[in-house]
Amino acid sequence: MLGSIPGSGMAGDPAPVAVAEAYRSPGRQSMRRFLAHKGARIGLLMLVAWLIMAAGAPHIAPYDPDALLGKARLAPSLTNWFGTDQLGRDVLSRVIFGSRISLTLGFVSVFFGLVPGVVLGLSAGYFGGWTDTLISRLIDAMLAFPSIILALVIIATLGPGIVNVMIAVGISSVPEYARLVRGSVLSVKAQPYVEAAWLVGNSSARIMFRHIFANINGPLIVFTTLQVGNAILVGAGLSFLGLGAQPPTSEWGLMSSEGRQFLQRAWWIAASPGLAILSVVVAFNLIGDGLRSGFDPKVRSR
Amino acid sequence: MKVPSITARAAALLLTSALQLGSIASAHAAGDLVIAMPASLEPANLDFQVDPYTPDILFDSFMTDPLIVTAPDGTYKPGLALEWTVAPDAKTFTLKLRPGVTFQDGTPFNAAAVKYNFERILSPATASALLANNVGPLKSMEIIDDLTIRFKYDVAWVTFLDMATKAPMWSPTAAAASTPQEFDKKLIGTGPFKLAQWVANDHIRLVKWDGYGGWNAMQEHKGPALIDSVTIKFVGEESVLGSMVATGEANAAYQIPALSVDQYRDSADFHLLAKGQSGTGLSMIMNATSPPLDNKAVRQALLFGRDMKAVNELVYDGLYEPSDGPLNNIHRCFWPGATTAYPHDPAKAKSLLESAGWKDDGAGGRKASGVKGVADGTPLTVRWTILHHQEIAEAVQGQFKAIGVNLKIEKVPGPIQLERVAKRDFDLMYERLRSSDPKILDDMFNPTYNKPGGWFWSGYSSDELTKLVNDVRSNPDNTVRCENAKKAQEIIMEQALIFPTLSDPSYVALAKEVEGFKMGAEGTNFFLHDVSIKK
Repeated sequence: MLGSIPGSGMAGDPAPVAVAEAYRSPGRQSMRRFLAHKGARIGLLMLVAWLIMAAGAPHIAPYDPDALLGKARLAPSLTNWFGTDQLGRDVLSRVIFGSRISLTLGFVSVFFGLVPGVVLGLSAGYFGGWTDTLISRLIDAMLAFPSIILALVIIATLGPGIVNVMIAVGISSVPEYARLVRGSVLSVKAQPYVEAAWLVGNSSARIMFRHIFANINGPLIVFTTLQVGNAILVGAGLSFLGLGAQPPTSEWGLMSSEGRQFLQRAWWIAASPGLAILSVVVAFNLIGDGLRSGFDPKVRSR
Repeated sequence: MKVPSITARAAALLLTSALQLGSIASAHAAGDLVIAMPASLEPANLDFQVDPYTPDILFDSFMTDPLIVTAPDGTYKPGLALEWTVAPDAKTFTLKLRPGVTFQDGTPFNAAAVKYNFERILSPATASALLANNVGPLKSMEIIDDLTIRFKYDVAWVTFLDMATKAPMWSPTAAAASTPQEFDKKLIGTGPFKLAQWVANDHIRLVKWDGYGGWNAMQEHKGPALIDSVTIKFVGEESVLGSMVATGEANAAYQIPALSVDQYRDSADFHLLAKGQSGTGLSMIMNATSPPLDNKAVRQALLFGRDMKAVNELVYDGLYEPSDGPLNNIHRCFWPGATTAYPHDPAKAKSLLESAGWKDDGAGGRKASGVKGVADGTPLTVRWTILHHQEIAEAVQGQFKAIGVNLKIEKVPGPIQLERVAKRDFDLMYERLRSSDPKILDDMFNPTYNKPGGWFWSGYSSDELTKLVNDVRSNPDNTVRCENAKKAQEIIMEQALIFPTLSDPSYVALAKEVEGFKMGAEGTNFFLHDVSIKK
């Protein structure tokens, strides 16, 4: 296209910025579009704030999160910004410390879902045939259950506890990863560069991970980002039901659960961790939206 | 014949539905009493002849009157027995039964029916988890005449009358037609209400029995109950339970949480009743058979490490009652020394733990060093297993941090609790008995009851303690029994076999239109015989 010839500089031609973009690597272009997304910037800012709080919790939190301060159900004040809970513990400190568990839960459980999901999806898409049939039926069977039900069944087997929640949430997301990756593999495995890689004698594993996986990670990154928020939400839900973190752990789901008994007279006990969950999930969703804008060609063309 | 149009049929249907709704609404106004209760009170089996839980006594009392009634002032009044005599040696008890009584299925109530019920309680097939212990080593039952029966023991059985206030009497005809495990869905008694429906985890519905003759000294009017039906709703959420009367969802709410009391207190729209519950209070029994609590010093350290007054203020705004000993402070045989036996003393608690080999790990916890049966370096964790009142556990957990004890809270359902007790798989286990009689000390600390269904959970026994609780069970002199109960409590506290926490009074909220609601002598029961709902 004439308008995109570099260095033409003629009036009416595309702006120099667009010309320069043509020379940028696809990764850099995606990142640029991501950062240009207003929601993504806000999400990133929120997430960075939470990460700083999680990392620096012992220095940032005004009190020991488990310390009984002597007065229960104190309304938010200058002394206790988020008030105190039903046992007189500082709610702000517990929310800050809770970010450690919730963020860890989000990342770890995504890891537990991502790794087996990618392996299954790559294998099903690449090998096809009976391998694909077997894995796809397994995925179908798992997808028949809503993820929260699947997580509940896994927790019932493993027993309550925050680590088991991470495993349960992770496993329950395996079929979604596998389905996504399988579809992406099918769309690229007939590409000439894959055939070329095969012709020069690359092993199946190398082709799958070096040539195919490297070219389908865009949607995977987007999905993973969204999945972190979802995992935090599901994990908090399981803790709310008493299946996750156990007292006195500062975990947002557990804190919301304990605070629900006092909604009428001390709303801040349940509301504070609830808002924290909301903000982190929104942050991940905004980032996910931004990444989608960066990676997804359909969104890009709009 | 002309077929009515669709419009006409729809109008007829609507009219019929409206009339039905109207009749339901008016029936409700005429006397359907809705009582909300904590879900934790719902038993596994509704028959106290089988099931060990105290709430059964309350539920059964709606469907059948006991032989003897404990009045709100604590005195014994006639129920199905009009008179009773106790031999001076407390080995023979003679009951004169009320004439003209029938069960709800028409079976006559007489001495043979009483004999049948006691045989059923003691039958191994019934597997009675508590009442059989309360009946004790009954030697024989003799039917003197149709309305007189005599019970004989080889040993003094001073708690016979107390037991007779709790043992439900069921129709022999109905009970014989069912298994003990299935009969609780078909209970047929002599009481003012018939069991209409029990939907597990939801509600129990009782309907008025028109044949009831008012065979209970607590009933002031003649004949059947005044209300048409009773719906007992089990509510899992405490805050919801506490609000149900205020929002009009229930006419009464039993055992509302302390923090809901404020909305009913001093209100012209509601009545608020409160009554203590004699017994052990909300206690945790210590497993003295395995580490870390097989060491007395560790058990004592836990008692020195707690401050229940602070917990009460913090969690319940001080609305719970103190419970300092094996029997709670309102019990007539409470040992006052329990109040000062273990003052809050974290320094002493730490010192005792150090002496027991649980050394400071430098990170706020403790680890084993030379503790018998425990590998060196094992962190000190104590499990606290409960059915409810998790907030007390969490507050104690916070206090225990100061002495380096990591308290692990486990909230389990009733069947799991009993399973763990059977395996002695616990450190601190919720164990609570409610009774104004000190015999509960015998139930809990006599190794005779170290068997399935028994309440000897601590695993600790000594000749001196066993002798005392035997006397508490069998001495005909009530004054001496109480004195020995106090001595037994002193040993129990010195050995630190129990971790008393607090005692929860029964708070009952009533809508102002509910009249005639009477609390029993204890917060564990109430009477519906004279209840009416003012229109």
